[in-house]
Amino acid sequence: MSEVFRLEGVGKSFISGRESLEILKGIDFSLNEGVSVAIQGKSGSGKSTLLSIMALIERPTVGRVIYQKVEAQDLDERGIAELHARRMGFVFQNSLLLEDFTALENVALPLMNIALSKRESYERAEGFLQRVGLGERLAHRPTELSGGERQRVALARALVTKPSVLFADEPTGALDEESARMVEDLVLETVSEEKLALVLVTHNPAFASRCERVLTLSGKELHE
Amino acid sequence: MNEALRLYIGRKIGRGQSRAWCLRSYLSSLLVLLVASALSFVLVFVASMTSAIDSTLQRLGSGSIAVHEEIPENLLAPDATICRTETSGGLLYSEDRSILVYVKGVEEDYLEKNLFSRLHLESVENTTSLKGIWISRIMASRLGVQIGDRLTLMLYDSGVNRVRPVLLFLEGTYSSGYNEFDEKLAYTSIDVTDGPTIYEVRCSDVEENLEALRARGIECESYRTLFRTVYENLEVSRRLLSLIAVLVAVLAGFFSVSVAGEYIERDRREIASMLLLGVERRSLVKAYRLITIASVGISALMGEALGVLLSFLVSPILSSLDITKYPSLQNYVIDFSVKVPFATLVLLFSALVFSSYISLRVSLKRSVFSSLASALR
Repeated sequence: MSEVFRLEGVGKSFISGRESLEILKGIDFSLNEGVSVAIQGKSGSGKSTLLSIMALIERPTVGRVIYQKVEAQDLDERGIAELHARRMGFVFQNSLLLEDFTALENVALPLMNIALSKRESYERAEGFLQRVGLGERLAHRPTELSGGERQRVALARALVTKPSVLFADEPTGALDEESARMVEDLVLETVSEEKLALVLVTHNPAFASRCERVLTLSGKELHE
Repeated sequence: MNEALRLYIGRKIGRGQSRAWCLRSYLSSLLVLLVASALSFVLVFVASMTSAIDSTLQRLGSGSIAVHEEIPENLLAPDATICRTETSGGLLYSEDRSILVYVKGVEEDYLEKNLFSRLHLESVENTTSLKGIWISRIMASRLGVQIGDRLTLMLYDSGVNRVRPVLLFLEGTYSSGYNEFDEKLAYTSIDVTDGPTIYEVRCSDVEENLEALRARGIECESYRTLFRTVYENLEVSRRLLSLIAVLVAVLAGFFSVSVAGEYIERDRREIASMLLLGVERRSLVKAYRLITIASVGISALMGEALGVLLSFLVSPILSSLDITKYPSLQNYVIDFSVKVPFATLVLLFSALVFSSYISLRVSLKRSVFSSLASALR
């Protein structure tokens, strides 16, 4: 299995007033294709910040992030956008769907962004929505969908470009138990079917335990 | 631009949105439309009035160029005309009232040749042996006379330094719409007056003709020099107003986007989401540039068109006003043909769109681009 990305000696500090607040320190981590990893930790321990660094949403203060032998620091904006578009998928607690777009358009948008034709994008998006059980809700806007349905649309959107890694930050955090369970199953099933790497940030130990690796972030460091 | 951005822009400018969404979202555009229409109306009004005063100064003053000696016509551009006039001061008497007048002695065809239909001339045929006089309607009303009445002019002859009475027939009245002249300018035959002679040159290119005359050492002045104060006041007012209009447009542009701030704030996560889907920042900036141009630009354009249209509609109403009833209007020419100041309107449009775009770009940078991670939370 080849490596998807690697962190070497990553640290992150924020400036708060005159003081520097260190959130992460000396984190080494690597993720191989098809492996699912759950990251747990207390609120404010820096889980989401770590995921943001892994997903090239923000830069570490120190250390290196390496994506398939390319250092993230060497990537320009276009390079990062290219990685986001083709190699990564995202599901967040708030589904981050585009409110003015239908479920179908939300899922088709990433495909159109990587230069697929409109027709092909809609066809493939429809297939993914059917796969997450929303074949009947194609023309519905996010405001017309339940929390669970919104997360399923977000999952379809994250997977439709066939990325190599899925980043999920508390994907079930705002859902009721039943919807949460359904989304958990769907995330793990599709990740396994698509042979994707998964980085899951969750407070839910049961969900975390279903991943192949479970890491805990405490004292600014990551422990297996 | 790829399909994703096209779809995004289309949706943001209202394509495929409900009517309620459009109404809510275009409130700020309505503001731009109103500001642009008000500003362009004022600009058109001022430009038209300035141009009307400018042409009135040439028409009723001493032509485009006042020359103090006789000149051959071939010295001037082909479109130039020359009229001999004499000017004098005097007192004009009706049966029971009198007013101080500035009398211009003119040749027979002068009024027909130079004052045109713009002066709303009214006249009767002079069947008497008296020489005719033309006064403004304001003067006629002050003297309590009507066309066809007799008037006595106590004329000051500068050559012999004496005052002489002349009985005149009120042949006609005029109205220039500009109180500066309407209050004191009277026309009579050049045979009646005995003052300094001025050759009035009327031409389209004042500077060119002025240079030609000065090159020959001929003593002359342009209407801009003769009416320097009026002219400079006009120019200063016009420039100041254009500047104020552009500044207001800039402020309106910023304000329109700050009104739309809640929509940008609402879009914050969507923009962050688009970035995560792999859309480049510069593409999003380009998209928002188009969204701004589409919403602010179109409303600014519509507002300007509305302002210009209003000017055309209001002009006949203003022209029909009796300015003697409105003292505040008496220093303006309100009877004017509409002149659209295209360059200033283009500047106004650019100021509106540019300030909106800059404001939007700053908001984008502040709320999303500076920290994508916090925009996602």
